[in-house]
Amino acid sequence: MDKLSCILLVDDDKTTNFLNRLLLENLGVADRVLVAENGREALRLIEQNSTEETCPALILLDINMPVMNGFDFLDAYQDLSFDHKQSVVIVMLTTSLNPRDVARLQQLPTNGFMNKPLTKKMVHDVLKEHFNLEFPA
Amino acid sequence: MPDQPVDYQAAFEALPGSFVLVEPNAPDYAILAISSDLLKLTAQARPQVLGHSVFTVYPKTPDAPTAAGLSALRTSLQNAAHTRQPDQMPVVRYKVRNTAGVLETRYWSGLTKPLLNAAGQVHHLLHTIQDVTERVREQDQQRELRKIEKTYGLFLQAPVAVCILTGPENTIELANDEMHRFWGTTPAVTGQPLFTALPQAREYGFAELLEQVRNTGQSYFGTEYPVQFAGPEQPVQYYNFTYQAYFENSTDTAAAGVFCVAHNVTKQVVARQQVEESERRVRSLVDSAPFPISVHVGQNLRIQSANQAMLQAWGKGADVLGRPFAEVLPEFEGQEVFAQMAQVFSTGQPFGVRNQRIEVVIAGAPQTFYYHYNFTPLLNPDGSVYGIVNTGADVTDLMLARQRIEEYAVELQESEERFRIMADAAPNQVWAVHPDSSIRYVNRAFLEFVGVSLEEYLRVGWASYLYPEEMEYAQHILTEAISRQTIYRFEHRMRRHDGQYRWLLAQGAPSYYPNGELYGYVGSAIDITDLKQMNEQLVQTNNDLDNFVYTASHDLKAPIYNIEGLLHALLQTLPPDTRHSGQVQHLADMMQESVDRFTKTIANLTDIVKLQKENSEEAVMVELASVLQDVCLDLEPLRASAAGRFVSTIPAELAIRFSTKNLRSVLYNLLSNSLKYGAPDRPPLVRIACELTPAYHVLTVADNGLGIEQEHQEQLFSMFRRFHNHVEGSGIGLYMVKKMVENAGGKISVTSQTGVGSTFQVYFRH
Repeated sequence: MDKLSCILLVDDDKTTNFLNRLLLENLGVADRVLVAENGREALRLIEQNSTEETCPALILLDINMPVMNGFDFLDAYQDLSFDHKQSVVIVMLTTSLNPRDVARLQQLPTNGFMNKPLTKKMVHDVLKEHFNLEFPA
Repeated sequence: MPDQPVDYQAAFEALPGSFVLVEPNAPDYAILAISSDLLKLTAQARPQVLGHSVFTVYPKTPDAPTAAGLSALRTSLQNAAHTRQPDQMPVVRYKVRNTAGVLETRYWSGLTKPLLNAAGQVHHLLHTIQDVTERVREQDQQRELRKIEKTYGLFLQAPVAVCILTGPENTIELANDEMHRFWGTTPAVTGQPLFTALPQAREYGFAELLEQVRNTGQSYFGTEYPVQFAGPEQPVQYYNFTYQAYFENSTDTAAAGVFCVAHNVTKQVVARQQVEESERRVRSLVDSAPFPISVHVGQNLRIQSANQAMLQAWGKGADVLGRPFAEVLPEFEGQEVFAQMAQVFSTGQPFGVRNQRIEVVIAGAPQTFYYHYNFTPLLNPDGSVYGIVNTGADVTDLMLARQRIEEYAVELQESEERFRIMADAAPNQVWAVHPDSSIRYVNRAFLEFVGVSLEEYLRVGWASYLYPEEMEYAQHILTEAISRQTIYRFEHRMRRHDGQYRWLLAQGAPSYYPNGELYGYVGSAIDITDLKQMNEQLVQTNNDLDNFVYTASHDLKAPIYNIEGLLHALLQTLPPDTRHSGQVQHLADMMQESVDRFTKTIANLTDIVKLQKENSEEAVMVELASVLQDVCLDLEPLRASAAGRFVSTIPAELAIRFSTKNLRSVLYNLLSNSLKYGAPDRPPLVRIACELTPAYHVLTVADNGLGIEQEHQEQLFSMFRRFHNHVEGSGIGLYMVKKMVENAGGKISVTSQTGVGSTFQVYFRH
């Protein structure tokens, strides 16, 4: 069964990152799970892994983060240029329900929007929708 | 010439007339010749007189009243003999025995002529006697008539018609010119019977009257007797007349005739008839006049006449006519009426008064009236007052109307006074404007706000205190409202005495007079500047609070999700036997439950905040039945487990104006509550209906459940209020429902009875 080469988790909450990495690894849907604690760190990781094998295929992005939040990250990501940028899927994973944020999110060039906590079903749904990968429930 | 000599003797004797030729031998005067007529007259024979003295032949008659006859003859003979001139004797009266042997009085006129010879001496005396008895008698008769005429002259010349009728034939003995004019006759009819001279008089009954007077001796007085002697085409003449019997001698028992005096009173009668006619007309005019008229005569103001309107004004019947005024209307005693009339009576000056209050007792009850009335004196020819004409006009209605208006005015003034006192005491600005929007009044607070006197404010006006950019808008609002006479309400800024522009909430309403006429606008304004600032602060605070809630829920969500995740991770690390052991499983379940409750609480908080934010959720026409069906589907597991039943009478096409999502929420909450709070002894039966009222669609959800205690009903819709512990609930469902409905302009109410059930009614505005 195919799996993704790399998934990048961007969240400032270490516990969340721990749990999400645990879930993804247990599900076995990716060869690698990278973790960044803010937008800037995420940008650096993308730049470092912009070659085909290690480039993240899916980015799960939180909004409220120190140093560089999700919105600023997306702005910066727009300016980024690398080979496989077209195939990268960015899905927002957040607890924020502030209508102001929701309205802003809908304007952003992302591929989806999910509320925390991340569950097995949510992972399977994303993979099916964006990568046409099916996993047994 | 015949040859035979003339026998002068025989001729003399045969000449007609009475004459005697005597010798002038005084004092005998012997008779020489005498005419046969004289002999016959004196009943003498010729042989006994010729040669004898005249005075012997005709001696003094013993029963003659005087001897003047013979002595006069002697004087006449002497005069003629002496003067040789004819001598005329005065007329003498003789008593002479006529041929029948009876002495009768005769009158003689004698003339003595002297016959002279050639020497101029008196040869003979010729005495001619003429019997003038008839002439004298005639003269006597005329003298008699003249005497009568003189006696009755006054009557005859009087401007009355006078006549004397004698005998049963009513012979016209005497009639003056006036009587002839009356009869249409001339004096020629004197001596004729009246009804021969004036046959047409018979038909007026005069014959009978005359006969009656003559027979009885009783006088008859005719008054204004109409006659038309001159013919039916001539105007009727009226006479007053008297028939009085007269007697030849005072001892006579039968009247000799009738003395008539008639007086033509046609002019007076016609004049009086005209006056009567005129009076009749005036009376009918007065009687039919719509205003009261009465005539009073005498010092006691006896009511001579009063028209219907006056009788009505007095409240009396026609039986008061002829009675003294004071007796008829004793209630006037204490009023001024009698004094005023007495004054008119004494001064002769008319009196008039307007709007006089008069108390009249009508049907036993005193009533108040108001009159304009006049007392006009009626004057005798000498200028003295004999009566008073009383005319009036009932102005009671007018006066009452005027009094009402005055009362209104006073009330209005009082009401305005009170309004001003109240308005001045009010802490907010109050004003009144005329219909043309000019200022009628502003209160103390208003003047204190602008900081000028009323005069100054009236001079400069409202507009100069307005915020320049809002002036046009404010004027527009005001003129628009006045033209439509509607209430207005708007916020605007106005310059305060310290130069600061303050926000005012102004509202005004049209005010009307009792007759419906526009009085103007009355309005008030409050300074809402602080309120506005506070509102802004509150909005800011609310926003801050919302953001806090979002942030807090966000910040709380992350750790609780983590705890949940970590719990699962921890459990995964345990060997399956241990994980499913009773103690661990129990602890794990309790931890999970706590996490769930925590999560739910956070979710509710965010829901509430979301609801506040989303009260502008778009309302659309949504089919109630269709949403109900969806909700029932969602609630199917709950309904099945409770063995409940939903009964809806909502027609499929019924649509209400509401947010679809919120309608779902409303129905979900109400229906799930009905199932959750069912009575334990009976399966839930929930009836859903909707009815249309003028302003709302009213949705009714009625159940047969536990019911809500009276004291809890009011708090039912408060946040986090839960009255039952046995069922799951967050305590925000009904709060949310209430918010949603009220945000859309509707309302919700509940009626409930413990042990019977609850009925919720939701009002959706059209």
